[in-house]
Parts: sequence; structure tokens; C-alpha cells
Amino acid sequence: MREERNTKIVSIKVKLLGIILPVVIVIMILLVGILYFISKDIIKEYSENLLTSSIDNQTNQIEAWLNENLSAFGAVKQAIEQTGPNEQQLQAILDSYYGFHDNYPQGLYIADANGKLMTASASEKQETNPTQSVWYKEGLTRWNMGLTNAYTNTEGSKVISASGILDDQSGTIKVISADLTLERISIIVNSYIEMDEARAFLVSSTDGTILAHHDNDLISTKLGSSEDAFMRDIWQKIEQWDFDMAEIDNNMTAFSQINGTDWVLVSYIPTKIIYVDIDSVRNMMLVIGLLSILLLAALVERVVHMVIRPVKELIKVITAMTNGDFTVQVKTGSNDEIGVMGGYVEQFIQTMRQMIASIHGVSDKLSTQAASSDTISREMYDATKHQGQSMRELNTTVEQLSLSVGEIAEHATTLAMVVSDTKDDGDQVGSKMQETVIVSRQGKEDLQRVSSAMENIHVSMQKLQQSIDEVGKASVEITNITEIIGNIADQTSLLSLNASIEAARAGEAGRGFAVVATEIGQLANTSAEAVHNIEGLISQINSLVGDTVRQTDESVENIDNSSNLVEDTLRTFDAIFNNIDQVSTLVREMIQKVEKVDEVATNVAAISEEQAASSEEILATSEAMVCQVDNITGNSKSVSAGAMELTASAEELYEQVARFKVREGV
Amino acid sequence: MKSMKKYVFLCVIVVMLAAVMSGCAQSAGGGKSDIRIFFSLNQMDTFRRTLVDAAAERAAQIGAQFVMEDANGSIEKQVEQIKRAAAEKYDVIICSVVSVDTVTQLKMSAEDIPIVFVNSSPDEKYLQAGKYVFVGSSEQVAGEFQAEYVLGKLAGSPELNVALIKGPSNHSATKGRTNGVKRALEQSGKQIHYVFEDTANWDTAQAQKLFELFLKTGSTADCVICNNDAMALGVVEACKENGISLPVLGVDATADGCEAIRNGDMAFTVYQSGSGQGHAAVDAAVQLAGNGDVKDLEGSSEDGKYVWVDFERVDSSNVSQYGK
Repeated sequence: MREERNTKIVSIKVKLLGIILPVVIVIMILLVGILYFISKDIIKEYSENLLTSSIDNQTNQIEAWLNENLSAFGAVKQAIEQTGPNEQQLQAILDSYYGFHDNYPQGLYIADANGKLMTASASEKQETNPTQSVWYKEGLTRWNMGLTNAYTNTEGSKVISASGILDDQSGTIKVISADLTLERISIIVNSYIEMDEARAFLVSSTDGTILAHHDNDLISTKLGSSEDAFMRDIWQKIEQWDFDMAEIDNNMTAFSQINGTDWVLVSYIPTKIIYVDIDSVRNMMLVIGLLSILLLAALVERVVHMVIRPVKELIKVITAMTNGDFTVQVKTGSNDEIGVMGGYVEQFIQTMRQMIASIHGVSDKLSTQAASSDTISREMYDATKHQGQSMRELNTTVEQLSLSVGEIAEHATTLAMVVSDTKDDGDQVGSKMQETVIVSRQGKEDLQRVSSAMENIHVSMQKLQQSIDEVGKASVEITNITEIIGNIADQTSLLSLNASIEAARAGEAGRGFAVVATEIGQLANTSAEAVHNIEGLISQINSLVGDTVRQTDESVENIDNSSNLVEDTLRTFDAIFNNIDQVSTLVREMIQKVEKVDEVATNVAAISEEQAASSEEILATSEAMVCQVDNITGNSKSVSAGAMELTASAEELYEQVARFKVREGV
Repeated sequence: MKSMKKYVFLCVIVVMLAAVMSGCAQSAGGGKSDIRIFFSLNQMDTFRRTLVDAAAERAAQIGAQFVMEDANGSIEKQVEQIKRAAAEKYDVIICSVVSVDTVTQLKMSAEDIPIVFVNSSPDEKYLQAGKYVFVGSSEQVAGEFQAEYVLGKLAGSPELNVALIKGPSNHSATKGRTNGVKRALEQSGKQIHYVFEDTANWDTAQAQKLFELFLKTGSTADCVICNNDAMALGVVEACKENGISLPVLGVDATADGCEAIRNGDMAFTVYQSGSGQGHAAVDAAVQLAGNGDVKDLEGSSEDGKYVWVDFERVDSSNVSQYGK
């Protein structure tokens, strides 16, 4: 993961350079571009001004030169016109100007309408037909001396002439003229170019003849028929009378009309010469820009290096920290944000060191505690397991007890039923007794006569009384038995109470409870025997009652035997009747007692039932306790497992914490 | 940050106040009654009289103070006049220069005072919008009008013999008018012969003398084109004396020129509105005095260096409207 991250890291240095350099380069290019175009405009304007100034100066110089010559000629001409010299005098004047000035070495010459030519004596100028000459014909068109177009004179020189009418009042039209060589004019033209590298030539605007040119071969050729496209374009512009400065065929070209002539001075300079400087400036700017960018890059690299050095230190520290080594230290040298950061990291390391040290302590304690709690939980588990076993044993005992109590209840119920039957039988006896009473009453009239029989009956009746007395005794015994049963019931109750208390105390008490249960069993046997006695007694009562019936039967036989003696037996019968009445009463009383026994037996049965129910409850409670003890055992097992896990965790924690180094050599 | 904003706000307020104040100052300066105009004239002539009178009239109309001095053709005198005007702190100078070559000197002498040049135009490079302007008529147009008239009049002939009587060679009007004539003639496609071409310095007598001389040469001309009416009248005189009749053309439509047209001696002239130029000169002067420029004036050039006053063609058909 970390390696992956390492591969993706782009250093701040690269980022900064990646942002700053392109921006700076773009700015540089813009700057150079803008400067270039501005400078180009400025240089262009400057060059235009320079060229204008140059051509103006040239124009002025040429005009001055022309005017100087023209005024010199004009002065001669005026002198001639004013003085009106004769031929010799005129010749002397012309002679005096021969070689007078190197602009016009031939001096002045004069021709008249008749074709007569006067030149200086030394002049070699010949003119076969002067009136047809250029200078003469053009001279005729003005009085003030003016310049002719360029032409080749009779000597073969390319010249222009300054000529004009000489108004000497002689009546003959004369033209005075002087020749100026085009070479000389070319020198003048080219001498006054102010702008370096600029060229100039002079051209006649009327027919495009080149009057002056630095290339002498071009002089007096026609501009319009030049092989040079530039020249032809210039001529086109001059023909249009368009004398504004313009860029023609990559030449900045200026035009200037020469005053007093039809001449146009053309001055031009190739634009590439003009822009040479600006191009070198541009190149220089580019070089400087490049150097600046390199310098900037180096500077940025250095500055960033210096700035991020503490960051690198920090990275080392943080890497060490990531690996759990908190023994490292941060050198917080700088006073900038990074320095502050380093300070806080140092603080963090201190805090971490303290924290880890305290965690060390805590984890030590924790593992000790975990170990001891593990032991305890094991012991507890053993104890609960033991207890569970005891509880199960107790449970078995209680179950047996419960079964016994159930049996007791069953027997008591049976007893109650028997008693109830007895009562029913008693009731039947009662009804029989009633019938007996009725029979006795029917027989009263018959038996009144049977007195003697009555005596027997009386004896029988006494026997019956005795039997009944025995029944009474039995009843008393039954009462006693009942009491015994009551005692048994009481004790059983007490025992069951004890059993409940013991059960509640659980634990070690299990064994003691078994003894109690045995006692309860014995008592139950006693109860069963008592019930058996009652059964025996009841059967005696039955047999006694049977005896009574039999004796009564005997009495009836005696009565039958003494039926003839009805009257005799009547009194006897009355006595019997009274006895029977008494017996009936006694039977009724007996029944009442049996009913009481029934009640008691029923009570005993009910109580026994309750006992059985209670002992079942005890059983249920004991089973619940077994369940709970099982749960406790399970829980204590979990506790034990937990304690084991805790121990493992404490060990792991200890190992983890141990990874952090907070002291050298730890 | 807040204080910065406050500072900027204050600056804006100050600048606005300054603008308003200067605006007030400007309108106060432009209060026409306060303007003092100095007119330096090269030399009085008929045309310039018209010009000067119109200027004075216009100045009076708008309540400006107007002082005119004549340099009588002296460069030194003109320079001295301008220096004085600068010393007396005139608001603006109107100047018809004695020589266009002295313009730089005149500008220097005027110190910071704006100058309206009239009558003779300095080279364009000496002009500057809002400071040094020329009020006049485009001389070239005058020449073109003359050529047009000749070409119309002599439409039938494939060749033309033209005599040109020009003004002084260093005068801007000479150059402009002559160029106008020649250019228009040459572009007509006709064969043009300049049988005579000389300068008579605007002068009637010189022109007469020159033309008489021309007549002696035996050459013939189909027409005589003069750079102004005065010279044209000299030619007319010469023709009369020699008993010949030629179309003679002038420029300026002076009273004499118009009279000559009415008499049939002259064929054509171009009316250079001296009064129009006088008016326009004062209007331009008022603008410059108020630190404004002339671009809003009628006939001003795009670069703000010129105010052109229209020429008008004058021949026998409409001469009655001129020269009175």
C-alpha cells in the first residue's frame, strides 16, 4: 500500500515548477510579443519620420542647390537684360562664366530665334539647329529661368538645362541656357540622404525619366519601362499624383515634389533593414526571457528544496511513528508553518510516549487480573457442578416422598369411601328399624296377646342392647383411632414443613432430608395399620348387627309360636315396641356417629390430597432448582470461557502495546 | 481593505471634482467675451481685406476682442508681432504667414498660444490637432475647377496648348493650384502642351509683362490659367494690347476679376470665400482658445488639422452674385 502511494507521489517541487514555469513562459511570450509589436510600430513610425525628414532634407538641399544655380543664372540674365550689352560685351560676359563654377563648367550660352548660337569662346558646344533643341524650346515657355527635362546634349552628356527667355529688348527672341550634368545632380541627390541604408532617386513626373540615381546606368531611362517591378510600381503611383508615403514591394517609400520643377524625389528603404533592429531586439528579449526562465526555475528549485527540507525530516519522523517508533525527535529549526507543524508533531510524540507507557502498565495489570479471574471462574465452575449433582439427588428423594404421600392420600380416600358406605348401611338399618317399628305397631295389637313371647323378645332385646353397647365401645375406639390418625397427620404436616425448609436451604442439607423422609414413611405405615384396625372394628359392628337381626328373627319365631297367645303377648309386645323404639333411637345415634367418622375420614382424605399436592409442588420446586443449578453450571462455564478469552485479550493487548517503542532499547 | 476603498473613493471624488472645476474653467475661458484674438497679416490685399473684415465682423458678433496687425510682407516684423502677442497673453493667434518656411519660428514665438493659420497653408507636419490648424480652401480643388472649365470649354480638341501663370514657387497655393490643374488636365487623356509656365508672383504687371513676352515668342495658347485673378487680369491686359482673345482663368473671384468676367475679358474664376475663411478662422480660434479642437466645425478634416472652406465656380453665368 505504501509502496503504491510512493509511486504516485508528485513532489511539490515538480508541481510548483509545473505551474510557475508555463505561466511565466506564457507571460514572457506575451510580453515579448506585445513588446515586439509595439516596438515594431514605434520603429515603423520612427522610420517613417526619419525617412520623411530625410527626404524633406534632400528636397530642401536639392531645391537650394537648384535655386542657387538658378539665381546665379538669373543674376547673369538680369544683368544682360538690364545693361543691354552689344555683342562683344555679351561675349565677354559669356566668356567670364566659362569654368566659373564646376556645376556648369560650360557656362551660359544664348540662342536666338534665328538659330544663332552664342557660347563662351572656350566652349566646345556646337548646335546645328539650336531652335529645335530641348533647352531652347523649353526655354521659350518661361522668362524666369527654369529647368528642362533630362536630355542628351550634342556632346553626348546627359544633362538638364536651366533656360529661359532673354528679354534684352532687341526685338529678337533669345533663350539663355546653362547645362547641369545629371551626374552632378545624382551626387547632390545621393549626398543628402540622412537615413542610413535609404536610397533615393529623382524622377520627372511628366514622363518618368530618371534624372538621378545611385546607379548611373539607370539615369535618363524611363521609370515605366524599367525591368524592376518596384520601379514600375513607383511610376504607377507617380502617374496617379499620389505622393503619400507607402510601402511598395517591401520598401518603405517616400515621395517629394521639388518646387519649381516637375521632378519627384523618391526615397526608399527596404523594410527588412528597418526591422533588423527590432528583430535583434526580439531575439535578445527571447534570450533574456529564456535565461530568466532558467534562472527562475533554478531559483524555484532551490527555494522549494530549502522550504521542504524540514518537511522531509517530518516525513521521516512520521514514517518512524507509523512503524511504532516513538523514540524519534523532531528538530524544529524553522520559524515558519512547517516549523510550527514540527513543534506540534514533537508534542504529539511526547503525548503518545506517555500514553503508551501508561497503557503498558494497565495491560500488565489487566493480564494479571485476567489470570486470577480465570482461576476463580474455574473453581466456581467445579463448585456449581458439584452442587448440581447434590440437587439432583435431593430431587430424587423428594420424588419418592411425593409418591409415598400420594399413597397415603389414596388410602385415606379409600377409608373415607368405606366410612361412607358404612353410613349408607346405617341409614338402611335406620329404615329397617322404622319398618320394624311399623311392623311392631301392626303386630302390637296381635302381639299384645303374646306376652310370654314378649318376654323372650325382651331378653333378645337385651342381648341386642349389649351388642349395641359393644358397637358403642367400638365407636369410642374408632374415635381414638381417628385421634391417632389426627396425630399422624399433624406429624406428617410438621415433617413436610421441615422438608420444605430443608429444600429451601439446598446445598449440603440434602442428606439430612433423607432421614426425615424415612420417618415420614414409618408414620405413613402406622396410619395404614390404624386404618386396618378401623376396618376390623367395622366388620365386628357388622357381625354384631347380624347377631341382632338373627336374635330378632328368633323373637319373631317366638312371636309366631305364641300367635295364639296374642293377648298375652300384647303387653310383651308393648315392651318390645318400646325397646325397638329405643333401638331405633340408638341406631340413629350410631348413624350420626358414623357420619362423624365419615366426615373425619373425608377430612383425612382431603388433607392427604393436599399433602400430595404440596409434595408435588415441592418436587416441582426442586426440579426448578435442579434446572437453575444446571443454568448456573452453564453460566459459570461461560464465565470461565470469558475469563479465558479475557486472558487471551490481555495477552494480545500486551503484545500490541509492546510494539511501540517509547524508550531506546525497549 | 476598508481604508483602501475609502482612499479610492476619495480619489474618484477628487478627480470628478477636478473634472467639473476644469469644465467650469473651460467654459469660463470659452466665455466668448473674454477671448482675445491677435491677427497677424502677411500683407494686405483685396482678398485678405475681405478675410480680415469678415474675421473682425465675426469676432465682434461673438464679443471677442480682435486685434489685427499687418506685417507688410516682412518675416521679421511678423515674428516680432507674434512675440508681442505672446507677451501680451492673447488667447489665440490667427496668422497668414509671410513665408510658410517660418512656421516653426512662429510657433516658437507664440510660446503656448494656439495658432490658426489662414491664407497660406504650412506643411501638414507642422500642424497639430487642437493647437495649430489651417483654415482655408483646398488649393488643389481650385486648380481642378479651372482644369474642368478648360476641358469643358475645349472639349473638342485632342491637344491643348496651355499657358500657366503661377504664384511664387514656395507658396502653398501655387503648388496646390498648379498640381490641381496639371493633374486634372493630364488625367483627361488629352495631349497637354504647356506652352508657357512661369511665375508672376501674384502680380498683375508681372503677369502682363510675362504674357506679352510669351506672345512675342510666336507660340499660341488655347487658354491661360492663372493661379489668381490679379495675374489673370495682367494676362487680360496683355491680350487686349495685342488684340487677341483667349479664355483667361483666375482664382479668388476678386471684385476686379468678377468685373472682368462680366466684361467678357476673363472666362472663369474660383471664388475663395474670404469672408467664409475669416468667419471660419475666428470660429476655429475660439475653439482652440477653449482648449477644444476644430472637429465639430463644418468642413473640418478627420485629423483635426484643417478646416476647409468651400470654393465656388464663377463664370459669366453666375458672376452677378460675386465680386460686390
